[in-house]
Amino acid sequence: MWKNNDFFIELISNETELKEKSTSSSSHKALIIFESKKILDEQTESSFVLNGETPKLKAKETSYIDKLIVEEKVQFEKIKLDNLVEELTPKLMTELKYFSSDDSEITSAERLALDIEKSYSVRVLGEVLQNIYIQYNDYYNMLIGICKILGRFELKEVMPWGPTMLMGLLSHKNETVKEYAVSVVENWAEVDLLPVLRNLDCSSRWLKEYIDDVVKYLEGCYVLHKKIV
Amino acid sequence: MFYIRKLSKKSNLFKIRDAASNSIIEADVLKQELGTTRNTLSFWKSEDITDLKNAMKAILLSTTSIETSQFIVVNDEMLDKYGIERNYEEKGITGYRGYENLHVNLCNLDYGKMGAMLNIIKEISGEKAYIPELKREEVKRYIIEVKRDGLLDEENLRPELKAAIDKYCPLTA
Repeated sequence: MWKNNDFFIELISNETELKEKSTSSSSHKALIIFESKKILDEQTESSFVLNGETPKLKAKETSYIDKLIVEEKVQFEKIKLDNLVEELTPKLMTELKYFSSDDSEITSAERLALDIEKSYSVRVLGEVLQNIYIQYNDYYNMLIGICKILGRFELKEVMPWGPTMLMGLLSHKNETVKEYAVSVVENWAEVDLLPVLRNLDCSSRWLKEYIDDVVKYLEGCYVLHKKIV
Repeated sequence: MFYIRKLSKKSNLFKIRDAASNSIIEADVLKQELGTTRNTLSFWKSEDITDLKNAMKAILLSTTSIETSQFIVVNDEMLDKYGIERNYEEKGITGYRGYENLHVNLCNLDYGKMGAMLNIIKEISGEKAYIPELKREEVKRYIIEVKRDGLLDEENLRPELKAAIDKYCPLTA
């Protein structure tokens, strides 16, 4: 701990607290300087959330002012995230509007989605995709594009929003959208989606056969998983 | 000789198989699976149908993503039956170093021969040996094998595939 007349710095684990004695108030103003690195949430691989709710804040008694400052910072980061999502959503939406499922090459929509994930985070990509998914649920080509994008990631990367979105795509009335959603399930090899697949409603024989094929595969994965466990 | 090709969608195999006649197969299926370039279709060859690994690796490393992959296999007999010609001159572009020569073009294709290709796919769709499949985890394993053998040619990899390989196929796996 280092002191002078006006403030002292206490180094605690990854955070540095700069506490300033205020001349106008008897309470200390605490400016908490956080490291800018992303933290790992329990569920998502990386998070754009500020390192606000640290164990330190949770574990120790923190003053009301400390909490206010942290909350303000979290709010600020949330606004920043919202602005970023608002900026990126129309860009990806435009690319998805021209998405062609016949392209054997990678489409510009997929390329942009990968860039978003690389430049920002998979969470930002998730927010953007969810916005588009909700607004354009009647645009089958766009939903197919979303399926293709989802399929480029592994399940654990897109938790928890990925499976949630996939559930919606699997139950879409358009069978081509369902088809692409089933291929995502197959790529993810997610046995938890077995009950959903078993109860999927579809009229086309080829789609029923495809779903049965994936169900058989997942059942095999489940048996193998049980043996290992 | 055997010739292998990756389908863009596994479900298209069911669509072709289940169609009572070629005339009702959806146009999109033809475009997606039998889209020609200069009247040719790309295949990769293998002398042994029980060992398609090298041809599969060459194909996987010419694509743009790591995903479950459905293949079809045809042979000289099937192609000769319908008069489908082969050209072995054009090397393939693949990240599997040393295996570019496995590439083969089915060439001089026309409307009639495309119908013949659909017939061939229908014929083989009931034979497991002719419709091999690799799940995503197997695709990753194959790619890791290529890496371990020092045969990954990054210059001939699509950037998206390279990024996916760097992310999902580490050598320590």
